[in-house]
Amino acid sequence: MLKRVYFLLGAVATLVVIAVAVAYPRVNHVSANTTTTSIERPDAGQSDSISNSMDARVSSANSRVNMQQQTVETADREAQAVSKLLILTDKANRSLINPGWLYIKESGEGDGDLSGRGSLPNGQDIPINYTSEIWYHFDDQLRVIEFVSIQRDANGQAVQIGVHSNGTSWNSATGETSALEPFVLSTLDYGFAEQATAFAASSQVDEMAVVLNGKPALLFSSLESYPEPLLMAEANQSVVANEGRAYLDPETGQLLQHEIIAHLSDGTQRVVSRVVLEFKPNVIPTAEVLELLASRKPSQ
Amino acid sequence: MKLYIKIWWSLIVTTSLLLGTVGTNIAQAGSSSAGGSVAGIPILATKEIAQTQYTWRAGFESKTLSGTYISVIGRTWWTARAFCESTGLWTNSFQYGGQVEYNSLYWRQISLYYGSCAPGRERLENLGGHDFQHNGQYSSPWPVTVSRSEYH
Repeated sequence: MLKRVYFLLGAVATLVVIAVAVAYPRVNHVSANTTTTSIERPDAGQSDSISNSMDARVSSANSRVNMQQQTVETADREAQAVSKLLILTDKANRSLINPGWLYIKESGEGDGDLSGRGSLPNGQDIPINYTSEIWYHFDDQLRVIEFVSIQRDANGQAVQIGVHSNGTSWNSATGETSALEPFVLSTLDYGFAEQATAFAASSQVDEMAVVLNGKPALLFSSLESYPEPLLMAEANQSVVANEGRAYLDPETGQLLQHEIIAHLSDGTQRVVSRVVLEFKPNVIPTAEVLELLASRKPSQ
Repeated sequence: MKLYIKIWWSLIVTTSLLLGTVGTNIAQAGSSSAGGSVAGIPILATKEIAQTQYTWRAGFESKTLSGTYISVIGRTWWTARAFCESTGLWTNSFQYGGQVEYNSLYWRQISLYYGSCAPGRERLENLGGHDFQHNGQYSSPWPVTVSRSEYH
């Protein structure tokens, strides 16, 4: 009896959803995997015979059923992609975030014509193309109790250094020290999975098996479209959507590469950010890192 | 999977996707305003930060409230920057000089930035001086600073 009630309620609610879907077609999301539906309509020039009228009604009914199926299939596929993404990133977090040291190397590049990063207070540019090495030290509660980050430009010259130790954080470019208590790193995927979930209502998540640098990878993409184009004043360009792409190792779930692709109003697409990542758990920090940490310790 | 469970699951996901089409894409936003006057004309200075999934925007606005045109309106300086607290590194830092309109009642600029912050938290800052001049009087009584910390 209860199942029948559930079924009837579900059916009624689904009909409401279909009515809303017809009233508010989902047009502001674009993806390579978006399915399009063509609705068959009776030709205006056809005779108004009973059989033609019947054909038209059957065709129209079929179209509505197809639309419902495709909407449900798209939603199902998206829900499955988000679910898989969360499972994989959780797996990666569990394998990488453990008591001890974790080393992360980020190799980043961008589109200087479209979006620079600006300059530091000491006048040095934040490089478009850079390498950042980060050493995180986790305690038994999996909190980051200290870290050292070193950002270098394409020539290997250190641009800025960040050190967190003894409840403070220090940046070499400003020389400023601020309070920073031990904190939890909730994820190691640039927040991609969390944000894809949080923004699920306004972005479209997809999944695809690809080959990245000769190795299998799972590509998750999340497209964020804007009701009105966002103006990039300095580049004299407008962005109609931004697409995030996360390439994950299908076995470990670790993030291999992260990209942001701007969809411009002129119809072109540009990679505004690409970061290639490398993770090494249970490492011993280099002498340089240990020296930096020692230099920030309060003098005895 | 039972049919009614399938229907409910599809309903929940589909509804959330449909609602997303009419909702806003701005996830987090904050603004700060301060009023004042120059040569007896009421003025308002506003700064704003809005963050979406992949971008953040800094807005800077100077305007008169009475619809009166004044000699000079704009900014004396402006800084928009993002600090990745989980790495201790600056990811964006833009400094802009003065920029004004003459004989106007309004000056506004919005800049769009792409951040790159590993997980943890990111501090976004929008700070600068507003510029109002009229009848030989000058007013830049702030800066109104907007700062947001986003936890990922």
